[in-house]
Amino acid sequence: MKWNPTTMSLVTILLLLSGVCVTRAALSKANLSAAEILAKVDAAAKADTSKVYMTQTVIAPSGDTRTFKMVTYSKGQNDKGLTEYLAPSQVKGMKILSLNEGDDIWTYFPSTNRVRKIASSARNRRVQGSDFSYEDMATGKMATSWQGTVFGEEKIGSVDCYKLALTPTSKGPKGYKKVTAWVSKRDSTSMRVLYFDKYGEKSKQLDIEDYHDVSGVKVPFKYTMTNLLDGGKTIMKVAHAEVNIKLDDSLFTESGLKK
Amino acid sequence: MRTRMFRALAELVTDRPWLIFGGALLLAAVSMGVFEAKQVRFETRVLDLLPKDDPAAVEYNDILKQYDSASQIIIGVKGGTKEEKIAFINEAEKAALNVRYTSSADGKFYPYVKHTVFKTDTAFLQKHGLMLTKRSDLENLEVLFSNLEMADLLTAYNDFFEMEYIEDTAAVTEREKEDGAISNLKAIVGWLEGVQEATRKERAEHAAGAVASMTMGEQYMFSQDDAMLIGMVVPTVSMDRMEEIIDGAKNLRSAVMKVQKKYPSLNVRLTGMPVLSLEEMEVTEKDMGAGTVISLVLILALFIVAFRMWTAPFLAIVNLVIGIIWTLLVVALVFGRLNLMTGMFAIILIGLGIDFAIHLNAAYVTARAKTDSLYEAVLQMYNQSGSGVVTGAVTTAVAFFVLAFTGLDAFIELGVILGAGILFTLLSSMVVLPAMFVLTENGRRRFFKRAKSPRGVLPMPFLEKAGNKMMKLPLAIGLVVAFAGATAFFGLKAKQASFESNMLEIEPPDMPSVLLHKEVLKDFEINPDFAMLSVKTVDEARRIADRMKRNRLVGRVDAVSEYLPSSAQQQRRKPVVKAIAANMAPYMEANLTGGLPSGAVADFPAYVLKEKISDEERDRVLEELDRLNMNIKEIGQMAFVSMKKRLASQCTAISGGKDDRFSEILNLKKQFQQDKRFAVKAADYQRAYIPLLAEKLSQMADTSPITMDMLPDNIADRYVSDSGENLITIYSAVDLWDGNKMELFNKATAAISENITGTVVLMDRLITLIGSKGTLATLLALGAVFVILLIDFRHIGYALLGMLPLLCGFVWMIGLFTLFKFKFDVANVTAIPLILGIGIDDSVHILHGIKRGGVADLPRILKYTGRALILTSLTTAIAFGAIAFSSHRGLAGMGVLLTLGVGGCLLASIWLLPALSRLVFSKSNPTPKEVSK
Repeated sequence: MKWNPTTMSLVTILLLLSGVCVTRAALSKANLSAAEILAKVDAAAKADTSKVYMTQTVIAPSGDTRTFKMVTYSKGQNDKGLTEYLAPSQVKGMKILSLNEGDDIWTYFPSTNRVRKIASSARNRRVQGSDFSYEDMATGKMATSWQGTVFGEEKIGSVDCYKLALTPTSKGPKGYKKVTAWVSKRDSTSMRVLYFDKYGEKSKQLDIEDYHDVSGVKVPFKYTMTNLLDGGKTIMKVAHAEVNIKLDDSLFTESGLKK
Repeated sequence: MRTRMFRALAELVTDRPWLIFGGALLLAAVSMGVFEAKQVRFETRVLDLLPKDDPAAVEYNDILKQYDSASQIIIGVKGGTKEEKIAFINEAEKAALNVRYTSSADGKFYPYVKHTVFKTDTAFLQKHGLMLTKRSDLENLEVLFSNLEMADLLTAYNDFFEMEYIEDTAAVTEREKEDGAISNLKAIVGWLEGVQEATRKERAEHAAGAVASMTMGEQYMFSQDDAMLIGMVVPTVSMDRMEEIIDGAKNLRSAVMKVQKKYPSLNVRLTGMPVLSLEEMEVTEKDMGAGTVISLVLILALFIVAFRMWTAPFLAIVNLVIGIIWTLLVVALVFGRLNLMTGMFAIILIGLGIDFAIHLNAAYVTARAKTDSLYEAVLQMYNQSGSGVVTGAVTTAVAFFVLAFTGLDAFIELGVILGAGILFTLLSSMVVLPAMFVLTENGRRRFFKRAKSPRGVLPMPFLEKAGNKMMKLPLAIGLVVAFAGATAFFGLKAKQASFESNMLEIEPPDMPSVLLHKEVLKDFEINPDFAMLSVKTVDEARRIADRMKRNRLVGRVDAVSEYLPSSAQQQRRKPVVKAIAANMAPYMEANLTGGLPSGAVADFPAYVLKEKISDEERDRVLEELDRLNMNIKEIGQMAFVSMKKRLASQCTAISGGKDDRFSEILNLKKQFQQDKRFAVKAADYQRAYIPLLAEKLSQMADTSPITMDMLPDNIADRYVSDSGENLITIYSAVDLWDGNKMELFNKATAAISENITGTVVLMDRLITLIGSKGTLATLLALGAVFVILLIDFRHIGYALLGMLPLLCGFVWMIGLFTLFKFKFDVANVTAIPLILGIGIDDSVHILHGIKRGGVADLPRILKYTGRALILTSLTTAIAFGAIAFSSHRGLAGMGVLLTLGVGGCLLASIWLLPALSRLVFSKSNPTPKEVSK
């Protein structure tokens, strides 16, 4: 009997992972290297804490669809994360705590009032049946996780983007052979990430849209991760976001889960 | 030239009617004889429409020949109790093994069932079960089964459930993980329930079942809620021997249903390719037979009403039957089979061929009213309608024949059979029908000493009135504008047309095999359609199986590698298996020393000597039950979040979900608490299950290397061909006909090998081919129709004018079809090129009238030709309408499409074309104005 995969902070996705963070200074020079672009994306990731209300809709390959409402807290970039399910009733009150970039995961079950550590080193696993893996959300700084080249420019919608071909560094994710990333030339926001699995096949595509200015930080309000191999899809829509707010460390502790 | 030809024909039919009629009957007899002798097959599978040399089709047929398991029949049982379902399936298995089929070669009976898979094949698993288990699972089992007494084992189960999740490196599909979890939970509950059995004997019996479930899972193939049980039958005959496999499937169905009669509470269905083919054939034959009879009767009735005479309709039908029988000669000699599309050629020929008779009969009746000379009447008939009939028929035939240039067998067979059929029916109508007119009239003259004057065709005065009004420009302009508007509207609707790629949605909705197919997919999350691949080595099979299992679209991968771990895997597993076996040894000593004489000293395990479990053990069991309930609740919540709905549902069923009153575990706890004899019963139950469990695990712990030679025949036969190749079968976990799932599944399987095949691969190929070749067929038919019009009228203006009603009717057809919420599919899409050949006839007849009499003759043209067109279109619509009522939805859609097309072309030909002609032709000059410039 195995445990199902658990979750970690979805805030991480929102603010860090897909290069969500924004630099206010536009990339003014035309001939930036990939490393420079990634450094600028990282430099702009200045939301140390966040609290986000969102809905997550998971469409399984079978076509089954389930929508969850949740609130997520994050602190220390992608170091600590807490997710609390608000709906549907079957999971209301369930909380997921993730520490150490998703390496340690605890879950609180309100139905039994118990906290259980349910996973270690589950980076390659999908989060809660969604199409995101822990690794997708826990890649750390872009500049240290990825390396590569700028191999073109392309528009995503009406936004001019640099097109980056990236491979993981030794500290980077293990589940992918490479990715292609589209970064906005105007404000270095990530617009799209195309993932290639270890067989070199296009496996997933992350589309990042609807950027809002939240306390001076541009936060995307919609993420769509499409699994290109099985047709699954996860759509996350932010209803409300706060960044750089005060969050007590006790929130991100095992004992804090029962509170 | 036509005049000379018509004159010669008129002389022939009036001078030699008996010779013509006799010759026609002789040719019909020869055709029937050849058709029978050639044993023309009726291949109704959608997949039979694929080209035989298609690489995927070739690979598919090779696999069907090489491996038994490539074509299997599923028997599904619902209703009744679980015990009834088990009793039925066991009895059905015995009945299935006695089923025979008739050999096509010698007519003798042979066994139909190679083997059955109605429950887990325990013989091999009982010996090597642990060596087939992944190392990580073995390590868990070692801990779990380190102490088998109830309190300890229950604690171990709870500890196991609360373990941190460790990433499993071995590939297992998501569905298999879920199945494993469900099976484990059921086994634990089943094990615990045994304590409450009333007697020691009953507890012992329960223990045997519980141990089997705990060690090898559910023996029978039940759905998660136990509502459905399935069993598999593998025939001795491969799918390429269609007649034999269908014959056997029919006998198997009878045998199973005979058993079902003993179990009236059970609902039994069969599915799988052989049964699906059998039921498709039965339905199609029924539809075709009923459709033919209904259309013949209705057409006859219409004929009688329209012509107000009895003999002519019968002559027309005889004429049609002769033309259709002649066509059988082409079917037998050229193709040797009828398929899903060509199977209804007779109905199409009835609908189209009767038109020739109507036109000729109308002309003959009109001519006979003017003259008593049969020769003159026949000649006038030819002159009046012969050209239109011949042009219309040749245009239609050519439009059908060009389908042969698409290169797709389905279209080639349809085009050639229908094209030849039209020409044969034309020949019969132009030669045999007039000969029968003459014979009838001669007979009347002989017996009644006078010829009967025909009473004339049913008048339709509104047509002439409409023709007169159309001579006024405003009405003509209004009509053209109205048609343009309607066509634009239907054109917009046509753009919303969609394609049904779900093969099951083409079948009759209530076909038992289709229903079971859907139920198996829903309840077992396994699609009975699968992809197959034959590979050289077991290692290759293992590599591919492991890779495919990582895709969530894949529900199960069946390959010999599942029974043959690699030597490296076996080496890694061996020490843990040995450790488990060693753990079991102390528990088995009870058996070994059980027969010692009284007073002998033996070191019995503690549980053997316990009269009752201790209070501490009792309390621990009760506490652990609380813990178990919490664990199952938590698993259920995690399963819910992870979209594992079967597991979530099972957890809710066991733990009661939010309401503890419905918890099976807590109810058991309550029973244990209230039962004063619980401690005794538990000790007794331990004595029953512990030695069995220990013995079973020891048996399963054979660590001798598993090799191919050791596999039992029934397993090897399923996966290994005579040439030593290995079959991999990849089952989907999702409905492949939904959205783009088939495309994704086929993309994933194609990535592992270009030789991948299977029903889903072939269907995808067929849909792609039908799409591309269908477009080509439509363009070819359009081009052919235009060229024929150009040749016939020798004027591009007439040709263009003739095309307009056709295109208009074509757009209306697709627009209306979409408006009525129909979808195109691989069966009905063939109607699109067909309607181009069929619909053109109407405008040809009107244009011939205009060319002959000028636009000023419109009232008369509409009065006579228009009336004939309405009657011919009605007969065609009746024939196609009969198809529209088929229970086979693919055929029904085709009937609807053709009926709409015929209606659209008729309306455009008798209203739009005359109105348009009024605008482009001057009243005195029949040449189009713009062309004459």
